[in-house]
Amino acid sequence: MQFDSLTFVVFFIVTLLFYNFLKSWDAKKNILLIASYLFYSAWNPFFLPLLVFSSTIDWWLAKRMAKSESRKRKIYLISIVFINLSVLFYFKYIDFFFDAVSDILSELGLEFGRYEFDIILPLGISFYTFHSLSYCIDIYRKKFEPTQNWRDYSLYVAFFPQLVAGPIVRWTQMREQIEKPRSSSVEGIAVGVTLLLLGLFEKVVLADGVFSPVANQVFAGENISSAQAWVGTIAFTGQIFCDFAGYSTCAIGAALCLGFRLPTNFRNPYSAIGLSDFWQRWHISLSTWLRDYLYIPLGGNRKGVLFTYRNLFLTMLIGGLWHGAAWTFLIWGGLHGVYLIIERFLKKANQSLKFIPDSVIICFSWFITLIAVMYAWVWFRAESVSQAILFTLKLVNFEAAIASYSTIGTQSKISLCVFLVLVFLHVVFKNILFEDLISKMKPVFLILLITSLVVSISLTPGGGNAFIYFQF
Amino acid sequence: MHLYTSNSKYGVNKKWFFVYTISLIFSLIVLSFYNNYFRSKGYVATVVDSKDLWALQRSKVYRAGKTPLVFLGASRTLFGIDMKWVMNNMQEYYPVMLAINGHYPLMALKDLSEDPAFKGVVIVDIDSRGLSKQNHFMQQYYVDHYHDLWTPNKYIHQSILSYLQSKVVFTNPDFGLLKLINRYLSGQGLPNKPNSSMQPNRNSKLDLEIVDSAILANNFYNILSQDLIDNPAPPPEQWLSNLIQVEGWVDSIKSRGGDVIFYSPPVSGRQITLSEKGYPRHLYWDVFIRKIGVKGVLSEDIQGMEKFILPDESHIDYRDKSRYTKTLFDYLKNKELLQ
Repeated sequence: MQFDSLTFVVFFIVTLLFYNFLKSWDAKKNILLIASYLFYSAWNPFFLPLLVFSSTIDWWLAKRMAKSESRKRKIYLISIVFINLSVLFYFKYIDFFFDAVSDILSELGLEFGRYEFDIILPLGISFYTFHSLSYCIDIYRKKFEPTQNWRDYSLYVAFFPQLVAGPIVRWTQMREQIEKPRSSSVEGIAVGVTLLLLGLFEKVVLADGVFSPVANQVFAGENISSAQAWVGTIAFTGQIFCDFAGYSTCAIGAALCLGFRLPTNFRNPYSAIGLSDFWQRWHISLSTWLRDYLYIPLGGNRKGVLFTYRNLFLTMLIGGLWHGAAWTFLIWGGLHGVYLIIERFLKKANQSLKFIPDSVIICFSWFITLIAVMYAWVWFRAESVSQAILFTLKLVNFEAAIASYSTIGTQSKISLCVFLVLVFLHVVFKNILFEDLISKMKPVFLILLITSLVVSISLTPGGGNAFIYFQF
Repeated sequence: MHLYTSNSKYGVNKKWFFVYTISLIFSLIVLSFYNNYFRSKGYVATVVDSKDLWALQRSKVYRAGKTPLVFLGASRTLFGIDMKWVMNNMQEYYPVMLAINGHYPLMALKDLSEDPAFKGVVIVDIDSRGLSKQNHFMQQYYVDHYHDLWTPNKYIHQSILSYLQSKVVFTNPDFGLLKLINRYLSGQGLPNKPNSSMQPNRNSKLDLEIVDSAILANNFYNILSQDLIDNPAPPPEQWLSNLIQVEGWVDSIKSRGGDVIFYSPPVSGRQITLSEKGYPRHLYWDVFIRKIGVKGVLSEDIQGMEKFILPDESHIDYRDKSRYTKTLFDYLKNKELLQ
């Protein structure tokens, strides 16, 4: 079920009413779990058993692991990681893996053949797998005791606002909220609905209405000009943010209406100065997950400069692969790894640039960061490596881009203007969260804001495009 | 913990009631103005036809209590059959419109025949050209959409969306604010007034007075002439051999208590000449009805059909819809093809 579907409106109102009608906290949690499973089944009910099985086996193994010591404990952890990653591998990566093996063997002159498994990817599998893994790894690290309650654990994994596209929530962030009774509050519903409206505005109006038609047209085109390549890149940079941040904002808003608080997932990322700053602002729940469960276990920055670079690169490479089974995602991750390595290297060389005013360095760094991020999105969006290379060649041809600017259409020009406004807002509100902003807003501005959101969403009837991150 | 989760010690904040009440009133005022502006310019609210809308109707062919009466075909049935008239005058039936503009319907018939839960009557609008093999699969992707992608989730969404689209002009994507801004900046002005409209049950109407029917007639003539050159009629025996399976589909539906009537709707002017030249009746249609053993009706055999003027030589104007539907159903009842 999508947040921008009319079914969700009905579903959410009914859930909210049932949830607040019931007095007992256990009954409320049962309703939330049933609602979450319904929400998930609305897309494809055949994958619900996989979700239930996956969370049940992880919950049970985690309990057994907590009671064990040393070697046995490690075996449990390895089993959990193996089971979860095997399921993820089967559904998400098996086609890619066999294609890659086939390509490599055919390069060596060996025929392996092509296997099409034709597997449908279960919605949100990458997200709920990471939920489960973080829980089990933290228990292995003795950070907390496992919950004895299957329903509580299942609700943590399946809680519908964040089930299919995050934020990736830790048990430490949810435990108290699940175990301690709560219900909706007027202010929670008001702020939550405002966040839902903002998220829908980002998704329906900006991502689907403004950016997506332009990006789709350019990336589907065959003989594109340099100007079109730039327009497509900029439009997708806007689309991917508005689509994904829109989903996260809706998720946070929906959870708030129910009295739950999900962690912030985006903090105006296009205002970032440097790539490490970008990753502290973009998909924060994933980047912190990768940091805690991959980068640090690999050794982090504790084993010298070269190992740090290796760990950064590997972490981002795997982060890229997490997004999808394609070389383009892998290269996108690798590109960010290289960016982070260059940034670290440059920070050390920064001493020799003391004569340049800080403001100039900051502006220049911000601009370079934005361009680097935009270029990486080309790889993320491209249908193939060859298309991304073609885009790269078009993008670096600045003269041709300027010369062919007059050929771009009205819709493209609108998307450029909206993108500039978006970036401007990111810079202006760099460290201010929207929910904090609306909490402090005067009623007259709130009325203007809410009216604008309702009107613009209503006046953007669309085709109900799926959120981009649903495919991950 | 944040102040607005339930752990908050803050009480009800009346500011929010005020803010949301005023915001919703303002929103309704703005949206009403927007809607009324387009209505004042002569635009009407219409449901947007789509695979989901078709699937919604497809899911309604099982209604208990009344016999489902399913209309398959293309534009001539979609715009010709008056669903309201059928509902009011054929009360033992529950009409479902599954005709698709520009698509011949054999795959939808096959789908209904393979659906063990379907026990209704099907009226299949088709001509001899539509029965040719190259036109058999036109509706397959609608059928696939229904079987592969249709869910209860979409049922609820599409039901509400259809209702809203039938009431409010701006729920049609053509009147979205961004689209209008784009049109304005490109110097295109407001969208053309469409000459067709649809209701949630896919009851549709075609207004042939607000368009140049002569241009449409020429267009249909050119399309048909070209198609007869590109895809000439196969020899009658070969044509018929490709239709043997149709008999099985009809038998399947009949074995469950349903029925199938093939019906070729009226055309006029050059369309008649071309159709007769491409697929002579005595070599194709009559042989199909006789050899396959199915119920079939040619509109030219129905008394009174000749009185209808088809402005574009192919379709009934909505003003004639009720009379046309009555003429058809009177004939079907008189000939006891329909109870």
